[in-house]
Amino acid sequence: MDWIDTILTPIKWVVAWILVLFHQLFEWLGMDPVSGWTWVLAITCLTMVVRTALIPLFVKQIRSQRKMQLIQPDLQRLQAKYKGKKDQFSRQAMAEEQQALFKKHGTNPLSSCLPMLVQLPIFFSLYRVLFNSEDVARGVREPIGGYNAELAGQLINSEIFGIPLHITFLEGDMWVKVFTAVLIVLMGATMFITQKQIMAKNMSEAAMNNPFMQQQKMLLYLMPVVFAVGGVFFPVSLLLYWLVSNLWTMVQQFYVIRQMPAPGSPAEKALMERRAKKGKPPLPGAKPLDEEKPEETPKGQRQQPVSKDRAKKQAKKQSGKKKS
Amino acid sequence: MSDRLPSSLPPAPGPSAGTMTRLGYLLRIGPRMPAVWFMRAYRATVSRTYGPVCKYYPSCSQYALDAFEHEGLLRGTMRTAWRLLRCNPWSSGGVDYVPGSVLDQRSKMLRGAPGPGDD
Repeated sequence: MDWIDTILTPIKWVVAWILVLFHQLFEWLGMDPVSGWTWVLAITCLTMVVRTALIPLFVKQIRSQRKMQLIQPDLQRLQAKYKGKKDQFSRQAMAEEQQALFKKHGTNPLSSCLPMLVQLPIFFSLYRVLFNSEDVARGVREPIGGYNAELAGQLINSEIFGIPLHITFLEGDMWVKVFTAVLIVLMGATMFITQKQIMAKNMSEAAMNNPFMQQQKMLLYLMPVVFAVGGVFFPVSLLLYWLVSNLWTMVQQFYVIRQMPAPGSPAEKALMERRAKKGKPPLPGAKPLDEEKPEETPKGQRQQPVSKDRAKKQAKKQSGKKKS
Repeated sequence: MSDRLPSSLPPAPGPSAGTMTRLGYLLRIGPRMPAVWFMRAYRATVSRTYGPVCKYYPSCSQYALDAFEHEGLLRGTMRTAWRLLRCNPWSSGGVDYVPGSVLDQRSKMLRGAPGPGDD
């Protein structure tokens, strides 16, 4: 596993320093440096720092998602063009045209991949820092940033409710197993609730009619189980980080679904109903409630009947305009 | 997916090829196969739970699979990392194929022949 430590060195260094600084802060405020609670607080603060740093990513993502409304008419036209054409070539051509459409409008409503993966290296770095603690404490391994032998020793000896922070489900006695199992179940539950909320409230009809939706629903139930199985290998400290992070996601998601719902989703409808009740206008750029589908071409005024002569003149004018 | 794309792996030696050619081929594609299998498994499971997310076409996971199949473990890893870094909220996305992959070849075909792909 040494090569992984080498790759993660910079992230481990930052993670370790944040952890140490918060631990130092709580010690300075009068908490016991050996107590597990000091470390739990430090870990919680680390999660907060990481998640706060990721907020701009998230906000930008939602803003671009909202622009979906602008290109909806063009997108629907494209979908109509390729309706029923499901072979690989047609799908590829359609995808290319869709990208051209995004280029034309200067906006891309999809949320992007990096933000979903960016937490993984951070999480894994924390895992490695915690995993290295024993070696650091014994002096076999060099300190990681400010995380020196003394601090590492304090961490591996700290406890909450008589449970060492450094122990995993697999290594512990009955009480440890019960406690970690509760943490793991909570983790799975928060994850499940977050996903469920998105699916139930924050998906447009088009997304709900996705042929893979059924599969997605099945995986919604499977994913927490998969992560729970992984959880038995993680120490209590890491489970706490994960749980706090999941709670953050849940609250953030709840707020976003309430205040900035995806266009065309039930949550958006609910938001507009709330706004209507308060006498506020519906969101700018959002569909008005009474209108089911936006007209593709504005009809405007009825064409006035004209005499043959004028009709000819108008036709000349039109063609003249086209030429210029 | 029922109609999976044909793989972008280098073509396997034909039935008349000698033992050394076969061995050479296996040695050549050996290192990339774990990455290829991983990406196929990822696309069959985890990837599905997210729905459409990626700003680019093909999506990052398809791109990674193509890159590993077509270019091998090392260059595939670098390509995938670079693509993931580009697929951020500030990016405007676009059409971005692994050069020489099946999708890239097909795209050139689509552009060459008059059809729905033409603009």
